[in-house]
Amino acid sequence: MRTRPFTSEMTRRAFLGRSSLVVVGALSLPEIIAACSQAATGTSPSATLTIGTLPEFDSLDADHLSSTEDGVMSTIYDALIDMPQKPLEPRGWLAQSWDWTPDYTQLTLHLRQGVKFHDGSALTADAVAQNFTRGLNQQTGDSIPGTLGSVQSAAASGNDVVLTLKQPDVDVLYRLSWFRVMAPASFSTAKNNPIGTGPFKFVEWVPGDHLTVQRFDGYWKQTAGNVKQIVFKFFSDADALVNSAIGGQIDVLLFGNPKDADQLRSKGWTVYNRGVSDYMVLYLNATKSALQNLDLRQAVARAIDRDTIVKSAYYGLSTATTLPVPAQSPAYDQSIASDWNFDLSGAKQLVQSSGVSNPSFTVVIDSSFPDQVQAAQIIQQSLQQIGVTMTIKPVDSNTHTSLGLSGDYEALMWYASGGIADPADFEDNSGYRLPPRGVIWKNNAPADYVSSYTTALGTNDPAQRSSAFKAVWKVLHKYAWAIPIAWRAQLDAQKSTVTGVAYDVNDRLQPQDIVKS
Amino acid sequence: MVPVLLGSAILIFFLLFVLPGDPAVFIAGGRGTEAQVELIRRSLGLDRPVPVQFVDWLWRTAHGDFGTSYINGFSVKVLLLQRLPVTAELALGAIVVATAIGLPAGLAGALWSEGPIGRLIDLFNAVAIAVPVFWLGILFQIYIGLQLGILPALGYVAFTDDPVENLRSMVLPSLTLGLGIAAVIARFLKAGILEGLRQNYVVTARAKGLSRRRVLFKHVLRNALMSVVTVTGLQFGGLLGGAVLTESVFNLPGLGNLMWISIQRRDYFVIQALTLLTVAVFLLVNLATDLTYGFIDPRIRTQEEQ
Repeated sequence: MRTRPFTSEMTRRAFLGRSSLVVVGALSLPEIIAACSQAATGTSPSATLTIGTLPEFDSLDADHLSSTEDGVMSTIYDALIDMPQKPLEPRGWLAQSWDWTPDYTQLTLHLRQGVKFHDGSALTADAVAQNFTRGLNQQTGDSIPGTLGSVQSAAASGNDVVLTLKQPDVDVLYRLSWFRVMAPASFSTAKNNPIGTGPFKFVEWVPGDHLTVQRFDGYWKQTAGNVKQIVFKFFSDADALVNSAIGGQIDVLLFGNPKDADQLRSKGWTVYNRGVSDYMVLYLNATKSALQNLDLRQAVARAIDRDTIVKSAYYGLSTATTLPVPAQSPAYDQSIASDWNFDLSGAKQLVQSSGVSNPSFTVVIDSSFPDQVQAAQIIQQSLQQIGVTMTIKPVDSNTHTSLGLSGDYEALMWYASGGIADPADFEDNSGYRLPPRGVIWKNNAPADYVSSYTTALGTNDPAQRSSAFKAVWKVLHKYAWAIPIAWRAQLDAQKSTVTGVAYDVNDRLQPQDIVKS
Repeated sequence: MVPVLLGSAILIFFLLFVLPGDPAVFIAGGRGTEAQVELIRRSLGLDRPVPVQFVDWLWRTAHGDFGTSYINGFSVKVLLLQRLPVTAELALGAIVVATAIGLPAGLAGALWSEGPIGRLIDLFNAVAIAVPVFWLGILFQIYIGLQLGILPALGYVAFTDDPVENLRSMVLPSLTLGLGIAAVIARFLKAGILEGLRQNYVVTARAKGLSRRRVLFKHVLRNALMSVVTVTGLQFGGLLGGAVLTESVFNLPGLGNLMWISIQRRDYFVIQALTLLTVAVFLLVNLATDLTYGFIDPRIRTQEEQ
């Protein structure tokens, strides 16, 4: 649980430190508290918690990786591995422990015994293997195949699941924290009638209105929460969501607008920024138009006033970034990060040295995200001052994603997931991808980018791995086609009567220990 | 009616495929690849020629099978039936508000057109037409719903669950959506009445000794209502568009909201079914408008009988 509200003066590092301590506390004390309190009072969970979330869920399929479902996935499903925010180390969840082969190409997961799905069937190695088979198949795996990229196959062996990897990849444990297990019998209906092993089981989903889950009495882990039922109320408008909170219709608010932080605080709500793993990035297609010029791309990287963007788009609730990992990552390097400090005069010199006359390009943005609109406008103004014309082209989300996956753009603003636990995660974001999956570098990526990334990926020692990825960041800064801008701010809030709200490193709500008084 | 429905179905179906993106893109998400999108397209049958997909869809629709959502797997019929009562109630509420306010306002505006009452009504009309629906909704929500607490600020309670709360929850949305239409009705009615009062038959009627009230309510008003009925039917289109915004502001799980989400996700079956439903409702409203003419003007009934 978070014991202090987040303010704009608090650094992200301090915030994560405090919140992670509280998360650890929340996760380690519950068994004791649950045993004491419930034994003393003889009470069973009875509270109903109403969570307002924006927008409505798309799909409850565990392989559908989308932040939209951050609030619900961990209520219904468990992952094989849990990755708390601190300590940043994987710990057993459905997989109680694991063993590596010496060359890190095979991982054996030892499953926890006595775990049941919500339909009463037992969690078996075969069920888990079936989940992998489904997830690895690009036709059936929804949006998870990319995340499981290094996994070749999975096979059941007694009570173990043996994963064979395409290449050594120690960070696969982090990726397994994304991988949630469904009952194989529910594969065809998982989108709207899921069956998992999580602390809550699915009850009903009324599209456009609400989704209800109820506490699963057969959950394998003892929890401290007193919530019997969670109702997720859907909203399509941020103002309606906040007004609903003020009106007392909800207990927890997810995906609020940072501009509403003060208003909620004034009504006694505890508010905080949850956006720690996604950052806004500007992709410059180095194979098209004027942006083929390296000096021009370097100029753009230095002409972005990140601090103003953070203040305007995120109301000061997040931080700027020029690297694809957060400051607390062992792979972060301040000396590389400061390459792209805001420097208009330096940027102007680069434009002049580029030799491109009247440089211009078009940036595609997703019009449904106000922060992208604001950031693009701020960047446009800065570039204007150094003689670069940037035209903003807003499109809807589906068109934006389509363009983002095809690379059919001059520049594109998007969000990328920053790997706190896994620096290699950055490459899965479209603009960074190497051939044959490349979007910008469809055929030929810079040779030093290929070699540095391959080296880093194959390095298993944690300290050496961090150093290896720092070498990758140097190459990214050298070629300047993917320009990180700022970590996203997602406003979450809870009533003062609600405690025990926690998140994992992937920003997914952990509901089992929530207490509503 | 059938040719219009068929023509609409063809137009929307093919327009959807002209739009960039598709449900496969949405499913694959930002972490997908073009190859994966292609595989998903194939599994959903979206790689088939568009005319083949259309014929398949038309055949199934004609047999009452509207398909399932590509995104959440719900039956399209279930999605529509769940949300239809909400939008229907909102539309009905808006029309009730529009006529309850618009008719008296139009009448008063005509009768006291030169005085302060007439000017006040003109001002109300101008403001009500100019103010955006969503802005008005937010104002109502904040001041009446949250600050005064007189009515629910947002949310929907089904009539079958609690009739009183249902009606209370629909007051502000109906007002939001209906005020603009009320202003349009008031304007047309006022214009129609003033025009009517200048007609020769009115002079004759007055000369014959009929009271002003009788002339107005028995003769002039009936003629003026013809244009009001026409404009109300036309406003129905704007009403459905305004429903999207109103449902969003007041968090009503209606069809407008569903259309907005489905277009973003390119959930083809849902969009097509919604479009057909909208066209069908429009046609029915036009039919009702035509029938109302006959009710108001006996000459039309007589001509039809002849």
